[in-house]
Amino acid sequence: MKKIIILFIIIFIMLFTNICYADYGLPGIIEYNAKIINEAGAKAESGTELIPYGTTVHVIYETNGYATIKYNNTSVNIKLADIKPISEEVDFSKAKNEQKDMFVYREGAYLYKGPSITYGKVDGNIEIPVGTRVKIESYTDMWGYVEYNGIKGWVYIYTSDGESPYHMVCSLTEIADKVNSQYYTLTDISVSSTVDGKNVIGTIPKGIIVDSYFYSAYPNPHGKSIYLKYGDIEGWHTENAEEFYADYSQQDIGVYVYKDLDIYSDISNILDEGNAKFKNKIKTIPAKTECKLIYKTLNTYVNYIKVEYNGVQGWIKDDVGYSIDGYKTNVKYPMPIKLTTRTPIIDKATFKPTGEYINNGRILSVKYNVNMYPNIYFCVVSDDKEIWIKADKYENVVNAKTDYNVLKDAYVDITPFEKTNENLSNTSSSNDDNSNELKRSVDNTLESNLIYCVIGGILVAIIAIIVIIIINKNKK
Amino acid sequence: MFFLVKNMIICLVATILIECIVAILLRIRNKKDIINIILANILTNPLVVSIPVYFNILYGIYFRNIAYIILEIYAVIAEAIIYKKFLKFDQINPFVISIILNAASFGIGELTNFYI
Repeated sequence: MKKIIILFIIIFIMLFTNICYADYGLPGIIEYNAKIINEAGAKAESGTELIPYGTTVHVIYETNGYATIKYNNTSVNIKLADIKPISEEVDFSKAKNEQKDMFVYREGAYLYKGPSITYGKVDGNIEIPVGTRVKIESYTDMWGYVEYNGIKGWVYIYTSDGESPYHMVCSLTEIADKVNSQYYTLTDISVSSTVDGKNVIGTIPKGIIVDSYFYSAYPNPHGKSIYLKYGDIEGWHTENAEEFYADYSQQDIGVYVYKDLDIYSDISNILDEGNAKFKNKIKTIPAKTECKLIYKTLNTYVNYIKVEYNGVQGWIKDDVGYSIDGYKTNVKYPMPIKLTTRTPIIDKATFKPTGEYINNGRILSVKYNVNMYPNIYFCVVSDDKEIWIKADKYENVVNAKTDYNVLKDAYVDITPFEKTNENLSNTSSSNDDNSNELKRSVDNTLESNLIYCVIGGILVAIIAIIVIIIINKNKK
Repeated sequence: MFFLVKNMIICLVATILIECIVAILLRIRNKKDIINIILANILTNPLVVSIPVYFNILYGIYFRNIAYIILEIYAVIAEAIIYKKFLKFDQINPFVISIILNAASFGIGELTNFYI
């Protein structure tokens, strides 16, 4: 019995420490032994203690230009400049031995002999050039071990300059796993291995959808640079040219044209504020027409949009003649809305009320909407039918008390704790670009997993009852 | 999913450890009784942990607290019934044992959350 008690206590302590230190995280540096190299000795930051020249100390932490060392069974802070590691050997078991993709986006990515500036830079003062993509093989919170041109060393990867012990600004950033956005090339564009665009390594042809990972944070006198990937070609393109101003990322977005609008086959001079030249009119899109958005220009004074209408693609100008809608889509976006007042149903063709209404408190799945200031019109799903409403008072449903029903292609209200109509407050919310950034506060995956956990708990309980009965029956 | 299951297991193991230690302190030394205490906790703890989390995520902290209270009462009663039926230890009323053990695990759990 005593052994069992001791075993329990050991397991408890292990569990307790695991819980306590579960989120301890990675240390900034790997502890090392160092010698005092200041001939006058190293003065402790607080107090009068002076550690003599040549003393061996054990560095456990670095902060604010100081090293925290263990000396005479106490922790003391001394200046980083007063110490130097005894050995250049690094204990890699204290680092996280995982790979991490990063790239150099600003100057200052020097290789060091160890995970601290006290180790000194690698011979030759090797700096990894801006725009280089590197593979970090091991890392701590502040330092990453990398190989560059056959030379191995440590680079500083900590992203906060104010808090770091060296007050250094990190020159590297992590590479996103997923594509930030996609662009449609309007002409052939060159790709460079360096962020300044000088070392051209390839060309991405016109009419291609390319993946963009990130922008350079480093100020580039030539303009902002984007890191692109197309097939085997990967590198930088300075975003300062007419050929690269299209955003393809809004797939499945529709355009609702509510007054007659001309479309053209060609466009030029799009960087000249509001003075783009449209050539070769194709046709006129009649009012009250839905078209598909191909792409729209970015970083221009006025947006120019390419749409598809009746199988023909052409350019239109972003003006009050149309509005970008959510197009028919089989994903869970856009967000459903909850009506906070009795809302008139309108005729889609005339945008006039039909005399029918939808009651206050209904949660409706939104197909798309039209923003025609000062009015907002929605195409919603109500009782499995698409209808148009003029929604002045509504709120976006962010608590996800709805579930997306794929068969109905709509959001279905599933909450059993719905507020009564009397409790609803009349709030109005504009369905502008901000609403597009609203996310579901409940992850459906999390909800499913929780249900599985509850079911698992019930099953475990049933098994436990059975085992209890069996064990005690046997004993009798 | 792994994160949820891992946390449930940690809660269960911690609860079992605490209640076993407290049970031993109460002089419940019989092996069979200890096993029954462990099984009683396996019966109640997963539900007491998972259901309030479910309510918290979906309906908010108010409903989570209500679920917590109801489930803790269920746990006390369920364990007490098991102790009354199967525990050989009879020096303390089984309901009192259940209350003491559950109070200990609940209290230590709250203290742990507070300080860590």
